[in-house]
Amino acid sequence: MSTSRAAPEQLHPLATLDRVVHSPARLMIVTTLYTLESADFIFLMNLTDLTWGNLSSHLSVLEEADYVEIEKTFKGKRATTMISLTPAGREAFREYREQLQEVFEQLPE
Amino acid sequence: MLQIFPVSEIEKKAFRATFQDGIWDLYLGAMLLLLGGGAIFEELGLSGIQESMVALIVTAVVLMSAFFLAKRFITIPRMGRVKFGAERKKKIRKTRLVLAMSALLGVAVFIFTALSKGQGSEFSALLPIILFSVNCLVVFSLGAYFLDYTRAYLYAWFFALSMPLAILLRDHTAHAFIIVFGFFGGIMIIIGAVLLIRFLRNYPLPSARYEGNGA
Repeated sequence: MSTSRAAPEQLHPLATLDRVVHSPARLMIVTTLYTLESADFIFLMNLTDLTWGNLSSHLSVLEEADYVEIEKTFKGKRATTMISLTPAGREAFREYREQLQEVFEQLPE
Repeated sequence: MLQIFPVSEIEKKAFRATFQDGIWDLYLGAMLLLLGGGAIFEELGLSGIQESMVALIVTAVVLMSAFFLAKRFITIPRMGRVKFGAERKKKIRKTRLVLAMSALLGVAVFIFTALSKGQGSEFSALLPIILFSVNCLVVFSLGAYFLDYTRAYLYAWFFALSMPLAILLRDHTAHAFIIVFGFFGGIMIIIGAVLLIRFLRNYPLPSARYEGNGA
């Protein structure tokens, strides 16, 4: 996204928002994972209200960006997929939050 | 400061989600009934059982096992698995410490009661009951605070009031223990049952095609 010359300086941080985090569904996933150490697929589905397919595709995008780590473990014979934010993912979310905060704090009441 | 992402609130909501199944309520309600168990057995005229601490301990173990089995086979398959962050783990550790101290106090009260049986003033007879009630109030309130389990504040009062109330009513009504423990324990069990039914309806088992599918 490019900013026009007329765009107020205060809005510039919005132009550099991380697109990977910015999508509403991914933002829900990242925000939830930010508060936790890790969660499995079902827990994330319940908390974000995303469908299995949606969650799966958004997690793939986040995994490609190296923002989440998806680890398959076995509890007995049952496979569990635990998902956690990587340090890069945490940093990306922190930065995204700061950028938004910066813009919104300068808005009039 | 403007809070665009109230992460601590989101974490709280995620943690509270693990209490939506009503299993804690059912377990605590059953434990309260069990606390009055000896006296209830006596009121029901089941002689011999009241003397049998073994029966009460076995029931407690069965209840605890049922609690863990329910969490494993009802809650986790529907709600999923989650590991909370360092801050929450610290709160859980604090709760465990409070519970351990409460158990130690319980043992001390039990020993004190056993040693002072049949001797001493009326106050020393009432002291174990007072300690029991204060212990319940403190432990449940701290648990409610550390675990964000707000219903435990109410349960703190149920546990704390049950024993003194039953003793107060004992001289005025037959089956005081059944009435008091049944009432408080019953309310907790009803709350738990309603929550469990709602949980089962809101969180059906993910269909078999999702099992082990991963991301």
